[in-house]
Amino acid sequence: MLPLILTTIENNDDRALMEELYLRYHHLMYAQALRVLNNSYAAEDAVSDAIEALIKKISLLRNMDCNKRKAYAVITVRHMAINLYRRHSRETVLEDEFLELIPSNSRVEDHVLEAAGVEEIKEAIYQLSENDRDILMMRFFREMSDAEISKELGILPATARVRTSRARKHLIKLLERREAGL
Amino acid sequence: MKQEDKLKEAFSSVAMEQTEQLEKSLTYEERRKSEALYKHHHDTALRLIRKQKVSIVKWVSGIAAVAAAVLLIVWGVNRPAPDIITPATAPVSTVVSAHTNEPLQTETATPAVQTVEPTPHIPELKAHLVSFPEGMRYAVYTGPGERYERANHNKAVVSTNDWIEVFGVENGFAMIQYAITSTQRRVGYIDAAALPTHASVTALEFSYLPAVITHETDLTDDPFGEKTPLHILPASTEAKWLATLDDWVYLEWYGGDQPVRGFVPAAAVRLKSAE
Repeated sequence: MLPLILTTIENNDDRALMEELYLRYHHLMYAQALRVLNNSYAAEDAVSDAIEALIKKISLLRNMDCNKRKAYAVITVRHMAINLYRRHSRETVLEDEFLELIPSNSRVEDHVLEAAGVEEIKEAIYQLSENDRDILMMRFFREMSDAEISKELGILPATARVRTSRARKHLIKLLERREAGL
Repeated sequence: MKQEDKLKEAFSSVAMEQTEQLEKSLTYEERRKSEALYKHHHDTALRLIRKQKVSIVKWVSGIAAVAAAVLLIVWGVNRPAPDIITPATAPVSTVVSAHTNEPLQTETATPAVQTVEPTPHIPELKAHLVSFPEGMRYAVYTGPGERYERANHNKAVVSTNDWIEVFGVENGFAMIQYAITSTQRRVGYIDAAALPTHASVTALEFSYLPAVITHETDLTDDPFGEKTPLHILPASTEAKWLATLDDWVYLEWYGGDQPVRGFVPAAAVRLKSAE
């Protein structure tokens, strides 16, 4: 059964796209959410939240091939599930506004990224911590703005910027070490 | 390539790899849990919708009856009192519609009752595990008979050394589902004589309703695994709708030399309306 929220989509093409996405991938989305949350009710909530988030990105989804669309749906529900888990476990997340930004050397960053190939960047991504990988996934795969990230994670926009920046710097560092042969 | 684009491509690739790994690593139990959860919602929602439909019909009938009664009262109040006049000069008093100037029907309007067309009965497939004697192998067809296509280039075979689920029997053949690999399954038919004597199976009753494909889609005998296509069905292809299984529709199609049965996504097919 299609979620009721899909009926709120006015555009017929958009609604058809979301209906097809849900019918094809809801099993995988449930399974991903269940793996994170280990609770069927919470997993349902995560899937609902994910559908709501996906509706806001219909224009982005429309231009993706089906494999990328599937990955987008799964990664979105994973992020929703992690957020729910943190809220339910009352995990206190310190606001990072008091944390300093790591000094930036954009020239070095530019050089490192320019020199690195996509495969090398991928390997570095796998070496990132889960938190760093998730926030960068939001930025570069789900193409979310700082405001959207801050809203989804329930943090200040400034904190979202700081976290994204720090995660990106960790990625650059991994690429630098790789370049240096470490 | 711009740095931003490089990062996007790298993260996109990682996301797709992670999704593929998740899909491949799903255990049989995890898939069943997800499917059962969806089916529970599907059944609950259908029950609620049916209840709502009935109450909507009653509500609409009630409103229509009240509206008709009000109209009659208003018409009765506004009707001019008849004058005592000779038949030759008697004016014809006719109530006309304000919109069309056509005379309103004098008989009492019957409240509009929404006729709900009976929904055609479409069976839902259900399977259960059956324990077969080990060490046997049987040819698998896509339909209940040797005239049906046989998958895997006419070589599809099931071994009874692993799990087999049975949906039911038709025409002397048992409809089964079994695993080929950890990620690939097949739904097909074997000779019902292969069923163990203790097995309790039901007769399959399919709807055989005319259906039409709405957009190009794969016909697969593996809806819960890798969805390996048996055929590609273009839009407007006609087939017979046999049953449903979660968000899949089970079809019979006569496109090639032999008839074939398989699954298509529910979004890709609709019942053909009567002409």
